[in-house]
Amino acid sequence: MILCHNIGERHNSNYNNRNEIAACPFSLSFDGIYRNVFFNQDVLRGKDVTLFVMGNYVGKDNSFDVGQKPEKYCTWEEIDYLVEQYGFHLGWHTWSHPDLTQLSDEQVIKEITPPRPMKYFAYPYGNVDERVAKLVEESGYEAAWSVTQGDGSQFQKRRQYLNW
Amino acid sequence: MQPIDEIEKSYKAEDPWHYKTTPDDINRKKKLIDLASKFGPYERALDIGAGEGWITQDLPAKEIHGYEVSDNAASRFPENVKRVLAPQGKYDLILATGIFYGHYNWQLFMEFIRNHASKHILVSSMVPGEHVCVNEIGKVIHQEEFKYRHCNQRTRMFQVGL
Repeated sequence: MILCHNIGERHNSNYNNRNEIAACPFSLSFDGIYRNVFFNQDVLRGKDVTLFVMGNYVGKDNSFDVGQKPEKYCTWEEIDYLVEQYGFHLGWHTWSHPDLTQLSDEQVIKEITPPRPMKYFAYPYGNVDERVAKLVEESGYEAAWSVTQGDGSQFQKRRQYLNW
Repeated sequence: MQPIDEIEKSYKAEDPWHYKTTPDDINRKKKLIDLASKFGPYERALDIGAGEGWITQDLPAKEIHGYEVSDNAASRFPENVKRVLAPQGKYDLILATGIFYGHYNWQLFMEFIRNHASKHILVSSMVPGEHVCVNEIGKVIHQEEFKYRHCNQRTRMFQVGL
């Protein structure tokens, strides 16, 4: 699984342009979900895509992310549209994008509990340990991904950035 | 593609391009509504790039929706126009006025038409300038061209499913 964030001109590793997205033969995942993904939905038609949603940022912007180009996030209406129209998968990426390995069990459970049932989960910053992986498994997810680590097991699957 | 913050800036003042007071725009609106009325009425209409809803509000449909990225513009929608950020279901009329230009998000608009048009799509653009993608929308069942501002306006009614 490939990790992307924004669809647009390259500014940093958080951006991939339309040509790169169109040419990628692998399963794609987007964390966010940034509104430019909605605006470029045509380039995703026919692809296997998972949208990992960050709950607290739905419908808001990335002003919390100092130094990044200002971007807006999709509303739930726009996210549901992408899922319904193109058959994309919906995944959870926590409410506030914390390092789960630094939280108590209770705090982890709050962050990994989505507002509606979802099959897939992605760890913020890719940070995961055995305890967190077990909590994610026990929450009912079918699989979980990390971009930085993991032993490749069902709840520590690896994903990687789409290379420029 | 034109950045959204630029679009928002344009719509800070009401009717920034003076559609409501320019004779060519009043004429264009009349032609579009007359054409829609000739082929209608409709159950559900969607105006893609609705602006402030000035044309949208008079579409001959029971249910009228407007897709508009600018919050400033959409805040001025008349009461009978419902803003949609993500269209739902099928529309038997889709209006696409002044959106199929190279610097706009024409790929997204083509997706909306592909996903949601069930019968008629009314496209109106300045010529020259209209993107070639419009030719792929469907079968043309009516076409006319008239003087509009400093150039011409081409209006086509397409039917899908033929």
